[in-house]
Amino acid sequence: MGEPSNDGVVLILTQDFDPTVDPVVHSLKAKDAEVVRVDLSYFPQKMYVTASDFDGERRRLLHRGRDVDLSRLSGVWYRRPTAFDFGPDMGEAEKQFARNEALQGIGGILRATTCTWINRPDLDAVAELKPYQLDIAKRLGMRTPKTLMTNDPEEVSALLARADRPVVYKAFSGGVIHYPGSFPSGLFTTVVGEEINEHLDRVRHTMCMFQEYIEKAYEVRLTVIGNTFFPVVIRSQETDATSVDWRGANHLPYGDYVPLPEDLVKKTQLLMAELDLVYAALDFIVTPDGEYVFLEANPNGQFMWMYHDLKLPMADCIADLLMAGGEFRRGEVTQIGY
Amino acid sequence: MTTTLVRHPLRTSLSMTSGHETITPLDGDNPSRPLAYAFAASIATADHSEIEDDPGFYNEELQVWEIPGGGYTMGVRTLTTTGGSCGCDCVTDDACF
Repeated sequence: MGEPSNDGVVLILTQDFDPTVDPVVHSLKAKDAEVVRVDLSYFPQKMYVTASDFDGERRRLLHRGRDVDLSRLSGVWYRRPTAFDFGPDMGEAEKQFARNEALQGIGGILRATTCTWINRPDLDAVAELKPYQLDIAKRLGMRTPKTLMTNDPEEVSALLARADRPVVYKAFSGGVIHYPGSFPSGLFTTVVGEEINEHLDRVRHTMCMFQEYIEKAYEVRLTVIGNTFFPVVIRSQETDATSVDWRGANHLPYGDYVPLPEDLVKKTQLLMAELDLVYAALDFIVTPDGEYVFLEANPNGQFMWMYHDLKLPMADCIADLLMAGGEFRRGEVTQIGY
Repeated sequence: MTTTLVRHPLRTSLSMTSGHETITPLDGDNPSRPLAYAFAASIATADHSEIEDDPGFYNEELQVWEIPGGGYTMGVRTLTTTGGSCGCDCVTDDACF
């Protein structure tokens, strides 16, 4: 990856309301970058996408008078776009066809670009698989919690009967969805108590994940932006709301900066390389003995709350990466403190 | 790429600001629901009186969201409930992909 330049165009794919993106847009503009922020819902009614090799190669995106040459892209940030919007007049069957055509066409045209992606969505789709992450982490020599993944109630019952320490339930995919079309609702990692016996039969409905509860000294949220690491200490044991899952409070008990051990930095880079990710937010427990335990990697995890709370230069870092041009190259890691 | 084992690679999200009003969900103890629902926080507590009168707007020229009075926002209270922990749109995790 080269030094940031303002020769290329930065494309950000996200919805209009996305507070994580706004500071990055400001940073890109301050660096004189050409920024195009669009949502996939603009297609096809408010946005045209064209690729052609008739009369020479050209790949264009037209929106609000902007004519973006996709061959000039230096970086693409695939954040939180909403779905294509085909309008109210098209029938459901036609919408399904139109959507499939759009996925193939736009997905393929964008995939053919040779710039830095944060992250390529096809890679995200595999990288976010938690069992896969845990398997890679173990193979790389990281400690991971002992984990049971099953839809067999008998397996869960047997684990709970022989467990000599607490067990937590953790969802694979984040929050649960209460009704079709709704956002996921809060679902934190939860220590399983006696109440599980009343619900054991519900394990059979889908895959469930149970892990050993690991005693914590504190936790680390590591935000990886290219070759820059932002490890943030969260003193999760200082409040009841954050002791099992630090997402339980909005005002987090941060701890002083502690750089990651070099060995863990190397293993994390190998994990990122195997998942082929440029960006990820990783969670670790640090035990009272000082051992780091890998929990998960979130390929599209939030980071702007730490940007605001700790004044970490994450927006600039993302902006520099998007402006660099060419495909991302993994290299020596720089850790940023606060 | 198949969607049999992974989601479609061109992931899309739901809108953070419109179109997804919360309704009272089924009882969390309903045995037909997966185990996760037994541990999920209810979203039926959304207080519509706390909804922002003016949550701001998207400035197409500047390509950023603008809120009344300027400054930054970590979110706005709308009829939409996201995966945050406080029943509002202040999202500090990745529950909304």
